[in-house]
Amino acid sequence: MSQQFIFWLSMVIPGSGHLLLHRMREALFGLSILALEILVFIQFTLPNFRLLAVEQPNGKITIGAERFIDDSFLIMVGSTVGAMMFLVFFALHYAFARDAKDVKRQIDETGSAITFTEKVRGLSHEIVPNLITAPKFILLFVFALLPAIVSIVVAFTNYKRPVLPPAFLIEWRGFSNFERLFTNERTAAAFQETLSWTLTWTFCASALTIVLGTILAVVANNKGIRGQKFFRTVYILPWAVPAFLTILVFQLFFSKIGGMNTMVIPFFTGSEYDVSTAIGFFLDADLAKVTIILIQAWLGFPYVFILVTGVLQTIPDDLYEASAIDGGNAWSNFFDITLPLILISVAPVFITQFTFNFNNVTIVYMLGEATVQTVGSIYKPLDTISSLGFRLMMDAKYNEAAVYTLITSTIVGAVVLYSWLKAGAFKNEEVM
Amino acid sequence: MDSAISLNRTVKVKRLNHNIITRNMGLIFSYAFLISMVIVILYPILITLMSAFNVSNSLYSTSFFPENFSLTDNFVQLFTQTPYLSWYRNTFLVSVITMVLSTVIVTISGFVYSRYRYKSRKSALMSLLIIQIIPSGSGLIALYAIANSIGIYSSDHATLYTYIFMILIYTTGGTTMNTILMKGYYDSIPRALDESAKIDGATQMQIFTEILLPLVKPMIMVIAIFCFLGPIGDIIMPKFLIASMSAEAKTLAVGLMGLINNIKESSYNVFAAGAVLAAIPPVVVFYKFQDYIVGGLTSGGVKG
Repeated sequence: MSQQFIFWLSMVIPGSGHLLLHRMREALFGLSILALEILVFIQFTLPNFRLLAVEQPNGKITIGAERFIDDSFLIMVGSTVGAMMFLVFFALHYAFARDAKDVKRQIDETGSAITFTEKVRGLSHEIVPNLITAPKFILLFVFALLPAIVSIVVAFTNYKRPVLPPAFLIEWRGFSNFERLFTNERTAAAFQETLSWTLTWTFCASALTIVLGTILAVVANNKGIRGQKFFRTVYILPWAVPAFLTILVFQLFFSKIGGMNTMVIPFFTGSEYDVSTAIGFFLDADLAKVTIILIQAWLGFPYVFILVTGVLQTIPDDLYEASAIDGGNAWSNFFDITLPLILISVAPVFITQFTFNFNNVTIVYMLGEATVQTVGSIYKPLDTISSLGFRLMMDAKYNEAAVYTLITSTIVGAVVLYSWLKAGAFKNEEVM
Repeated sequence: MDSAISLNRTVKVKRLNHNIITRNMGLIFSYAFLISMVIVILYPILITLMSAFNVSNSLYSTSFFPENFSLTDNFVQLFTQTPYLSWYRNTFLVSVITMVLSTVIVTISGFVYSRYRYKSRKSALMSLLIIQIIPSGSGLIALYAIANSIGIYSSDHATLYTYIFMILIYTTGGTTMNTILMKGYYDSIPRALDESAKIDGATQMQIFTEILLPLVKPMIMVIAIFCFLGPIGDIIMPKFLIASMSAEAKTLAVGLMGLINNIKESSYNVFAAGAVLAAIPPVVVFYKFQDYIVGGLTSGGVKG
């Protein structure tokens, strides 16, 4: 009886390895887990899985067999939970197999192994912290992980109004929702246009926010500037006022009857306000795009400003004194000392700016409501991929919305994961 | 040697004199830039403030100061013609409950991750980091459908249950990254402090409540502020989850957005009055706790 044999036997039947080693209490524990597993499988998982794909007489594959009796959506959720339970049970099997192999190895090497009581005592250190943090993980599972997975599944179905369970059964659609984005001529063109605007928007809004915030921080924190407290208080205001309010204020401010047309432009040109010559900032697609980028810069710069201000205060004065002796001037100070130090400490945060704006539904959706749709276009001119997902969701086109959300989430997830791997966040002892 | 140093000094003094002139030019430009930015920020805010006190029948106003000043007219209209008070109450109840729940969870689990050493700790932290990547809006379709399927919308207390549902979603969103930040803050407090308390006979509970809790108070404040402000500013979730509910059931964000998009029914000035009232609590919180926010953001963000 080799260690390998014990391991693989326990992998199939938890507790069986312990049984062979005459460790009765562990064996009993493992076998009762197996019994629980079988019970869950018969009572919960199997009924859900059986209804997951039912072939109807007309050849369509639906979730659930009969309308009003089976709720397709609950079956989808149940199946997802069932699939995740497989993972949990797999982990339990693996834990038992590892332990059985360990016991066998100890017996082989020393003739005896640590007893069950000792093992339990060792585990009590595990149980307390896991118990305290359990509520958080339950919340995360129910309100973050599970919905995200189920939303991905929705992208492969025909779940949209009027196909609403339990009055209708949801059908499987495979990849056809995705195919439409590339094969349907009209949709494909609109998708490409939206994608390129999304990238432009993300880049311009983030870059402008970062540049404006950094420059203001450097200028305002200059030694010779007085009233730094005043500037800081004012510059933090766009962040303090809830964004939805400012967005609405700007929506009016840039309208034909808003402050920009009635007060600011007349102030600079000297001519009287005239509603017929007023500029509709959201009536022209290109003008609307420039305007929304400027508004986002206005909204977003305080965050960068505060961040850079914090970094500037950690730069020791010695560096500038040394530079003065070497004949450095303000420009070389900035480019050789200040800027590199800012970039090193703030670079990871800039990634969050990009993902934030890529994902930013609030401003795009709200100002998008104010824009005029060009004749013949499918989407509003300001729509980005993420706001499109939200707009489709509001229109109860859930499957199409899920496609867009899936695309956005994948891109955002990939960018964040890549930046973390590159920054070594997972190896960093500070974090772990 | 001495002469070399003095020569060096005169060169330095000359350079300093030269610097004073260029620095003054720089200062003028700096002030001009800073002040113009102050105007860009304050102008739209002040215009809104002024409109809140302007009783005007025309749709637009061409002067900065109110033509028909009234301290109360727009506010009276706001409270009598819209369920503004109800929006206000909804929003702040959600924010406060979310804040309390998230802060408690974050404070306790941050302590566990920082002070306990156990086998699954690393995988717990790792899974937090990974779950954090999921964008908050990505599960919205499923959340809505689940709420629908378990009968939240068809029950007698639909509004109440929807709000509880929303609070739980916000609380979940407020715990991932904040837990990691909180843990980092606990880590910055030397463990020697706990060890000596343990020698004096303190229990783990006493160490937490009497020694660590007072020390992490600044970070608790930062997290509480952010968890409080999050739901106030959110329009996505309420817009989607309570879209079909009665006017009273709305939040400030959804309600005020309705005021703007129905410009024929409601005036800009009434909206402005509502916006000013809605902005007061967050602005006050920001102003009062400015130093905490700045400190917390730099200590948390830079470690990233």
